[in-house]
Amino acid sequence: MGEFKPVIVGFLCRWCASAAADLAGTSRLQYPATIRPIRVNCSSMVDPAYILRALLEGADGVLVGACHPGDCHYVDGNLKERRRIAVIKNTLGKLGLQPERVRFEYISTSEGLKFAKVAEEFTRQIRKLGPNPLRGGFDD
Amino acid sequence: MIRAVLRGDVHKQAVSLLTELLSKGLADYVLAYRTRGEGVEACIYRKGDVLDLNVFTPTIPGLPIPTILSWSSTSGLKGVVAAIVKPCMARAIVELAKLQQIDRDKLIIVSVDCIGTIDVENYKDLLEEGFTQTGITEECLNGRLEMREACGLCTDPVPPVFDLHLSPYKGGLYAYAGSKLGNKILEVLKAPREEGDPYVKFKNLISRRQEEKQRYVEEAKFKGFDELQKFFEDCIGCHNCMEVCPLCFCKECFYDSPRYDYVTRRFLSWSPQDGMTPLLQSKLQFHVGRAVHMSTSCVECGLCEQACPKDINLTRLFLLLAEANQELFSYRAGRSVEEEPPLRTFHAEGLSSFEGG
Repeated sequence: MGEFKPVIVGFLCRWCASAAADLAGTSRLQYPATIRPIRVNCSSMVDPAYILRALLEGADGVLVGACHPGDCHYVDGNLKERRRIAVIKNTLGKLGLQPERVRFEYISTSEGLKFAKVAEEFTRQIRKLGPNPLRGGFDD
Repeated sequence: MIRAVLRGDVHKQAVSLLTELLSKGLADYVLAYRTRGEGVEACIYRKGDVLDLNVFTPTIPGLPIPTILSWSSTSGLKGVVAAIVKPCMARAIVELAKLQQIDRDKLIIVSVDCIGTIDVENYKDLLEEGFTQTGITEECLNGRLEMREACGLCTDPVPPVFDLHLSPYKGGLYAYAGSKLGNKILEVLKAPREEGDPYVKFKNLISRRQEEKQRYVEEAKFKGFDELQKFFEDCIGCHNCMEVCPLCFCKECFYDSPRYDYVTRRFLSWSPQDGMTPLLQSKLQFHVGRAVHMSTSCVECGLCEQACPKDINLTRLFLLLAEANQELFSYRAGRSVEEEPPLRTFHAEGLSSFEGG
């Protein structure tokens, strides 16, 4: 088995967090290779149902990367997504399903460093939580 | 609030009021439930029809009136509909109007006093035992018959938003005006008018139930995956809860769409490990996902539980999540026409505890 390698699904906004992930790569920053990035056109398209599906189908964590407030390419998508995140986290909490597995972060295009830091922190946090109890037959 | 005093038999007064709405051209249709044989069914009446409706039905059948209104609104029905509804359904109408599913301008919300309804199944049993319609209503009002769980925890015997509200009293029927339109209707009806408050007679009931509900919601929390799995163990995936939900207005549910068709290949790759049951995962995805989609607009009517063929205690899930998720935005479904549904708007401030790690 070896060390627990978390599987984190990252929904990254193409206008910011996704570019930040690229920047982290081209800058050769070191961070744990736990995030499976999915580029989305705006963080607000990440319906709570997608987050739920990722968790119920075995992801150990879900990261949603959005633009800083005021910077959204579509004016207010990031703040609308914040409300959806609030609803899904609150719901998971009431159902006893570990809301800490969902993380919402503002990461701008130039913040490659922040992306690497978030990846590291979140991975550490998930390691502490251990594997997702909902995990099915996913082999990473 | 202005109310009209209609002395005499409650039922006759209610019917004559609605007949007058039609004959004076204030409404083109009356949408209400009527009793027929053992069942209660939704019916639409026009001018000249005999209004054999039952204003104070002691039960809510499978087809909620807000759903019928959203069909007629979205299919472009011309004319004004006067809908006779229970308070929970009046709140659902307000929510659907805010979500552009019901045309509020072509609608007269006529709500009625309601302290609770009984399960459709129990209702049939009672009729077979020899109870009469009015007998059931009376027994229910006296609290001698078992109400649906959601009704026992309902804090809205009178809805927050209505045009007309019908409330029986000892000598007859009060008709309260809750809007400009309501006032206009009362003027046209020429009944004696006075000041009054429909909420006042339920003051004790409301405060008692608020306490009970708080306690209930506190105890309703789930302890984790295992408990949730057990909770939905019996679910047969019929999606009746979604079909009957007045707030689930989508023509095609996200969870009925092809993206939730699980292909065999995935089942095979899942099942051998960890003894996990993929079918249950899709059940949880449906139930929790649906709750996430509509809990901010849930009016806690409990029709989902009534529709469930396996008697899953869905009232617990939806009361828990509706209370929690609406409180998050200081929102209450159906409280006001002005408040934006939480997931359609945003504020720059607040919710910072959900950012970062």
